[in-house]
Amino acid sequence: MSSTEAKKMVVLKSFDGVTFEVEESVAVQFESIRHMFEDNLAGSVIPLSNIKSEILSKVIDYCKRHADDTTDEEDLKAFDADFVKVEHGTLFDIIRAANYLNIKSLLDLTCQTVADMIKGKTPAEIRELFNISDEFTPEEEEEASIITRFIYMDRYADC
Amino acid sequence: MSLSCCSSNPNVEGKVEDGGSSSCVFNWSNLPDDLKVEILSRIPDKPLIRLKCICKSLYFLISNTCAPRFSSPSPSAVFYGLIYLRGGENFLALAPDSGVVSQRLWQNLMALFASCEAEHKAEHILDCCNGLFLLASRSSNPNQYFVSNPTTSECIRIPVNPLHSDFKYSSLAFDPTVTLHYKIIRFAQVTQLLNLDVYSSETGGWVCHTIAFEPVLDLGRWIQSSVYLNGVLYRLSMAKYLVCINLGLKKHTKTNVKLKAQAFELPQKDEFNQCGSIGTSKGALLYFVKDKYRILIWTFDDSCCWVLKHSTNFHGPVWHQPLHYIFKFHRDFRKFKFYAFHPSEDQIFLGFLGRMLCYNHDTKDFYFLNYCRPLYEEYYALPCSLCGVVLNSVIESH
Repeated sequence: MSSTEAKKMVVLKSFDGVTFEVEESVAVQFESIRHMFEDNLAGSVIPLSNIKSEILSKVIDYCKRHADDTTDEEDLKAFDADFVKVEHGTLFDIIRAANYLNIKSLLDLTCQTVADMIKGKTPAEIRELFNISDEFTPEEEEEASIITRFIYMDRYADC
Repeated sequence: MSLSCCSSNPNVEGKVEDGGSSSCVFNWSNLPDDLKVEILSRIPDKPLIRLKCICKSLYFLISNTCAPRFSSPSPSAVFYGLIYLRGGENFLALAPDSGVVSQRLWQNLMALFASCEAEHKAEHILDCCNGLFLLASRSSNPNQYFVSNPTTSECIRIPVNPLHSDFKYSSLAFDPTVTLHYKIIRFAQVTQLLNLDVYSSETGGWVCHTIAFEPVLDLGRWIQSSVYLNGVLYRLSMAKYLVCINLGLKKHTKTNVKLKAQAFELPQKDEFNQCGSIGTSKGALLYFVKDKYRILIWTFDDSCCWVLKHSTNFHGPVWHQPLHYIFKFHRDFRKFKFYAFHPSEDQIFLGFLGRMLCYNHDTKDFYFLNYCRPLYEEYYALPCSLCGVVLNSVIESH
């Protein structure tokens, strides 16, 4: 796109000191810092002290794509699907960033991705995936599994 | 942006503090609780409950934050069906193939009763509130209450207040969205003073309350079923009053707080010979009453006024043919008994000699549920939901 004329720009600075110049039309999706550039603090740099540059650039990528009205639904879906195909650590960082910046659609997308990863797996698989060490005693394990046994065979056969 | 961050990660050394730290490992425990809940809330309840046994942090997060959400009062509660009770004796009398209640809940309840009955004969179901059941045993000496969660197969015994021996009008107040503690409220036979014995699971003791109404009211005897909604316990009296007892919604109510109660006359009470029934649907308190050929449903709104929500006249020009035939077939519409409101739909359950009818008062559709056996007995029904809350946890948080 070549529509750079008179576009208001917002400058964001990541945790590791990298600055990003973003069109205001894209940055408005950052709900939590919106007031900072809307209060006409033109030119000033908005520090994002807990987002790394690599994550911030991904988030900006996402918002750019979603701010672009010319992209059709299908493309956007494909983009989203591709967007979440990242290392788990990165996905988590994006969740945190989306939460911090309050970007609802990105938070939905990434949380749903993690939820979907969890859904089809056994507890053991999830422990491995999440790097969780099991800390139950046998009695506790018994209690924790009681309710599981109940719900397992009941109504919701779909999950 | 192309490939993953992981390859470049090792450079980000040194001043890495909490917010920026992300190792290559997908580290669940670094995620703040609210984001964990954000993720967990996107998982349906059944697979979610399974995650409880993964680790303690998940166990507590799901038990205390997620589980109360799906066991909260209607409309969000998972409606599990109606527990069918035989009148008078309060025995559970629903065949599991009736389709009214889920098989598994039925089995769990039966197993619970079996284990209770090993010690005490004759279990009575007194109330069911947001997934918990209040049971009582009359044959034990002294009498004994049980608070039971059939979902988790738990049963906790609670001695009755030594000062009273009868438990007939006892209610359970439990709202896991507010607190995991519950209360048992036992109503003494009223005259003009309202005498209540309240047990709190938080304090583990009974407290007696006496409340005087002004002006003095003669409430008559109580009606069996009660409703607990948004911190208020509702019970009808034979003299056609709705009594509202404010138990307090707050988490930590002090033991000796004075209870507040109010009594409201039922709507159009002089037109009906009999007192109707209360229940909840879509988060509101509803009152059902019928006479020879009418069904009337009121809501009790926030300003404590009755608002007529629905009325069907089976005798007038808006003749409901198929339903009329059924009532005619059964000779007498008056014999149809009100069982329950559907917690999330515009439906009511009516029963007649072991047969249950579900009637949608909005669309006027209806269908029959299976027969209960034995027929020709008086039944009543309790709507029940699922509760993922564990009552007496052996799992200690650190």
